[in-house]
Amino acid sequence: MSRVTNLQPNSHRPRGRLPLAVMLRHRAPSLCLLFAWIALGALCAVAAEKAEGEAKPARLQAINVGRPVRLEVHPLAITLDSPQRRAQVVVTGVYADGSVQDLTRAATLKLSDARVASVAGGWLAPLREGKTDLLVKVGGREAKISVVVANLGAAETVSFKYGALAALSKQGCNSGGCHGAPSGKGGFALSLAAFDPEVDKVALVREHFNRRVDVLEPAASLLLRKPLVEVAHRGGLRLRTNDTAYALLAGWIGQGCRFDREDAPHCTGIAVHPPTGRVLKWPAHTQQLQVLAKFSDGTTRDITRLAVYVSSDEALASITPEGLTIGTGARGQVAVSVRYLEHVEACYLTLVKDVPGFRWAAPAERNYVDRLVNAKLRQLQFLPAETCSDAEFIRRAHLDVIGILPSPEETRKFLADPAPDKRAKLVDTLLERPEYARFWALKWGDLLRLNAQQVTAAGVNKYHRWLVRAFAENQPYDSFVRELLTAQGSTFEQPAANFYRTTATTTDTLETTAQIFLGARLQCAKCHNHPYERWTQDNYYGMGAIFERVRRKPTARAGEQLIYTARHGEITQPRTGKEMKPWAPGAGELPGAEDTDRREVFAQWLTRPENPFFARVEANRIWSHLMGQGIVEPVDDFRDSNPPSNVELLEALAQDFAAHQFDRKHLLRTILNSATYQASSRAEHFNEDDTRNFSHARQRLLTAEQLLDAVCHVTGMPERFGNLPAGTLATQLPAPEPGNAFLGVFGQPQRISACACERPSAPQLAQALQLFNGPLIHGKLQAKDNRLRRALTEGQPDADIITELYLAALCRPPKAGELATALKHVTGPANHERALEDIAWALLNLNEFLFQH
Amino acid sequence: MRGVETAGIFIRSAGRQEGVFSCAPAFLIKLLPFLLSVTLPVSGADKKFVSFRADIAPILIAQCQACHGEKSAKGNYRLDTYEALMVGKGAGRNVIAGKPAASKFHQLLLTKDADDRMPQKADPLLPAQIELVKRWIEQGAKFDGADPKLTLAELVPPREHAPAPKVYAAAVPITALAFSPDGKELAASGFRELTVWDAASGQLLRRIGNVAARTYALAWSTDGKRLAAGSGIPGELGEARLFEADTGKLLKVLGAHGDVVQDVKFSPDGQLLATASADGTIALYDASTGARRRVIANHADAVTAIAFSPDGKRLASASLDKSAKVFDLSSGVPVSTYIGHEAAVYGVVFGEAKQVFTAGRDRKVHVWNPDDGKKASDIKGFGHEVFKLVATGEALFSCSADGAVRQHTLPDRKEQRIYSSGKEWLYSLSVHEATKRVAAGGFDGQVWVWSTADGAAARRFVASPGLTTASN
Repeated sequence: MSRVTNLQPNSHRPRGRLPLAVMLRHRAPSLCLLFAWIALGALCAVAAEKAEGEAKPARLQAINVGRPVRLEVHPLAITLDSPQRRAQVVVTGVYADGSVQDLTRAATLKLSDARVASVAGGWLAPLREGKTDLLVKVGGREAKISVVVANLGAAETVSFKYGALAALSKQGCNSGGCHGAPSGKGGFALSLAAFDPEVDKVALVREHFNRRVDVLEPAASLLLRKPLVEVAHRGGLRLRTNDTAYALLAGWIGQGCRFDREDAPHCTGIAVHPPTGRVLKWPAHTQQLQVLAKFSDGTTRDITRLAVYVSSDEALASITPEGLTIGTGARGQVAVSVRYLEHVEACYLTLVKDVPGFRWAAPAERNYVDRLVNAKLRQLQFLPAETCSDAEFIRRAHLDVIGILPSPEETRKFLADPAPDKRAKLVDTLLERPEYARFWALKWGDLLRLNAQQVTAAGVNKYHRWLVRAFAENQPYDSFVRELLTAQGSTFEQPAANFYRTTATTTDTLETTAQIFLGARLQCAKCHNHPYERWTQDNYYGMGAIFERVRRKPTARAGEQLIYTARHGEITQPRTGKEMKPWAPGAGELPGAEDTDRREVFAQWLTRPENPFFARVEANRIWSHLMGQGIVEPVDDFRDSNPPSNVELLEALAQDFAAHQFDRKHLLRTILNSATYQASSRAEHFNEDDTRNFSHARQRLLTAEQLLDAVCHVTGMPERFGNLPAGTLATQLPAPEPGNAFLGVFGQPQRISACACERPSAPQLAQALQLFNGPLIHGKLQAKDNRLRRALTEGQPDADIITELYLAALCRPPKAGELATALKHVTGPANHERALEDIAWALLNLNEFLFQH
Repeated sequence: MRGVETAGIFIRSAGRQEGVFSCAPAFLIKLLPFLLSVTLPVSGADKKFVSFRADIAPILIAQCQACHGEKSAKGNYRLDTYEALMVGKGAGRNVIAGKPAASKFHQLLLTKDADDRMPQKADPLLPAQIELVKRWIEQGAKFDGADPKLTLAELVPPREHAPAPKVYAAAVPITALAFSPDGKELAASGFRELTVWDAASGQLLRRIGNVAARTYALAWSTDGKRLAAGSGIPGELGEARLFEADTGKLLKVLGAHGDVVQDVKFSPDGQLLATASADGTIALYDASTGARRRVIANHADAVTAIAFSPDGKRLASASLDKSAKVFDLSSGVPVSTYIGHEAAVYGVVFGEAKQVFTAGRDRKVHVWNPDDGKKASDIKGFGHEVFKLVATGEALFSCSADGAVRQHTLPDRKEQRIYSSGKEWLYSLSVHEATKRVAAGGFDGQVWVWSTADGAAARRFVASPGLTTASN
């Protein structure tokens, strides 16, 4: 998928062969705009790969039943003990090779006494009281389960929350785009995903003079007639009279719109069948789910047609309102998130398929990274790419570890080195370079929002030095985070305390902490329970209680703040008015947080090696930095409904990281030395469809800072930044450089939020203009003492100058054809200096230069 | 072309039809009507007259207007008047008199293509209904009403509403209450009916049926002989019905709003009757003939309450659009708009000497000048939203969702007395000065009657025939 689209119009040319003639012909200002458009198209094509995932219409494939060795029917027995109960049956075929497949659609289901219940699509409804068997027949096998129907005399009371509100959620009435919007729709506002039943009680029953429900004639209720479009409804058709939701809503209204008693059983959780992790092999890419809600009185209820389903990737699979997952035919891992009010479970399904002609072959595995990546690739039948060239490796490793390109000298030496372990040696060398610490301080500067507006110019330098020191000393990640989160004192003397200055309020602190260290975007839960996740509003303010006592006070010194914690101060949940206890995800209420600095307790809990979130989030961030994409993507959005593309890999990386005392260099070294990292970026037939499993390297535009440094490096013309010392690189800036148009255009973030999304990846026309005709590149190309003019002055021959430019920009010498074309251009009638400039300009506009590959 | 533009939804099938016709020579097209009329069978049984007003309009209201009405004109096409139904020119005409097979309106009821068939995403019309449409077109697609521009709802003969239940299965909220002019009787909203109670004893005196499902306002004529009810079916119909108070005989059905009537008032001289509807309009009728005098469509959301000025020259209105307005009745033009509530407004009354009182969701009563809409003061102290207001010479009464009726003295606006129901939402309110009674109706179906002389509770009853206990 991620094939670099060539900048030049003829995009069929293999990458690497310089179409100099084409490029040079177009270095006329009048043509630049046209060219810029073409280039934008090329950049967009790369970006479009990310946005790919258009939902294809789900088509049901016929099930190839084969010869199962036995059938498994779930559940093992069914009791329908009120007229409203229903049950979903899931039939699974188990085969000789241990594989399984969902046969619910293919099986013949029959009740031995058809008067007792009806069955269609595995969905049972009671007809009359009695006992019978459900006979299941498919693939020459048979199974049966018992069915009991009882208590049909009395209708069950429909619960307000678990019936009516769940029904409104199922139909999407209270979704964010409809009546769940903050001000509702058409004057009718419900709480988002029913998180606040008290609001819904008033809206449904009392508001507008009891207009919406009619207890004496439920079917005449506006609440039902609108979504049925019996009367005008802006939201269109949202309900049918044969929907489960209709029966529940009409039943609840007819029973007098009663609210649940305080002591009524409450839902304690939901259970999804099949258990998460099932592997489905094409064409059997469908899976019927069955969902049970468990209640505090020990009862369960089948809510398969009341649960709300969301697929994590519609390009892989969609899911019907009845709980049937339907794969599109693509391969990969998909999570179906199953939601019932505030209860959420995810069911992961791995969709595999036999690819014609596929035969496994892979470069030798170097460590566990390769083993786990290859296991997933082999399962999904993608071939790992061949190993990248030395030239590609030295360029890639430099950009990833220290942010800059190697010098032509370094490249020549590395390419010429015959040592078999030269790549590992290079990795070791790079990790010890001073640029390593500065480049990673840039990355963390984004996350920690180092900018002069927030912490003053003096403060930003101190904070930056603290960060550089942490990376230079290779401070273990847990200790780094503890130091940051528990920092106090003067922001000048304890630069880490600036963390509480950039996050100036309790809510900002807790949201930033959750996003950076737990990979959780908690912002939604500030105002309401997260609509798709388990985060509740209580959780949000529980985390807030950890930071509520942090105080920020200006001191007598200009620009300095004092950060300290008060002994008192509680946070209340705005909706319930309840005072919240310090709470952490997975840990619940933090014990012992009463008497001491709550941040200490939290930081201790957070950085424990066994904390499931802590190591995973950082391991994923490091992985994403090196591979161009996280195992969880986006890297700060860990949630059940956004599964890792390779669970085992992420787990192994996290464990390795924790086991090595959170040594970031250890993790970097492990990944950099893997065959997976060193895979070529050239896709081929057996892996071009893979976007998430790391079969081949992901090509990506250099970041703004990398690109500026690279341009300076190729032209030999360094950039000066404000009053920072000469020699400071863009990849080493303590804070965003205001007024640098080039950096701005290529997406240098202003560091307003902790979100990784602040660094935009969408290409812009302005970028192409900068590259073609921008003042920065133009100026450096024309400078009197740039790389090529210095070489001319020294009297170097053209071929050497051109070779040097190639090594500087692309980390490889020109190929014979490329050199010939270039030489022909510089020996032409044009001004010689100007012609060499053209060569440099053309190199700077090549995808091979602009992209990491 | 106009036909295609307005009836956008027909474009696709229109294209197909034109395709056929465009192949035929011009003279054949001219002959076509003749040819068709010859080939169409005319059956004797079809001669029974089909009325647009009585037979066709009710089908359109029930089956088409949810999508092709004033509020939601799918495909930019409305079917809410005879004129709208008859759009189009030439072969593209929606209805071609005498030729059902050539009329798109008829074709779209029959087509097998689910993407084209009307009504969409719903069951097709019943065969008998389609047959009626066919016969009506065969008979010339004639209009048998007063004005082809009238909305269908206004055109159809008044509905005969289903009877009220003999015994209520559950109490229904009391959304309207009104003391008779002599103070002896108290009329209340019921389910598909009005109930009339003895104000002193709380005994049910009589039930008046043939009323729409819900009633939101009641008004007696000054002579006590007529009782007006503002009622409707939420989202579908709003109307005022005028009854002979003693006998319950239906005298007039006024108007057909697209949503429930939320308030109804007689003018001070008794000549006019005004209705306010959840469809956002206000209508004025001649109280004796029932002729409609004026429609004021000025609010952006439901009009919840209206009040005549003491001199009868102006009308004030309250609306869910968060505004209250004063209109000049001779022109129908707004004189002033008050937006100080910044929330839904539910109650409005004129005070003496250039004052309007409005009450709303902001839990306040605002006092403002009807001439310029400028706020003079407000009354606070309510525990929840405030619904209805009644002004007598010396006092302002209000009922609130906080369970209380409050009496404020005028003009100083001091809280004089609180009549408490406990904590039930009080939706409706009526005051009778001579007999010193104030009554309020609650969400739970109960009616409270208090004495304004001493504030004591005089009566409390469930105003749902056959029930003695309140709901919930």
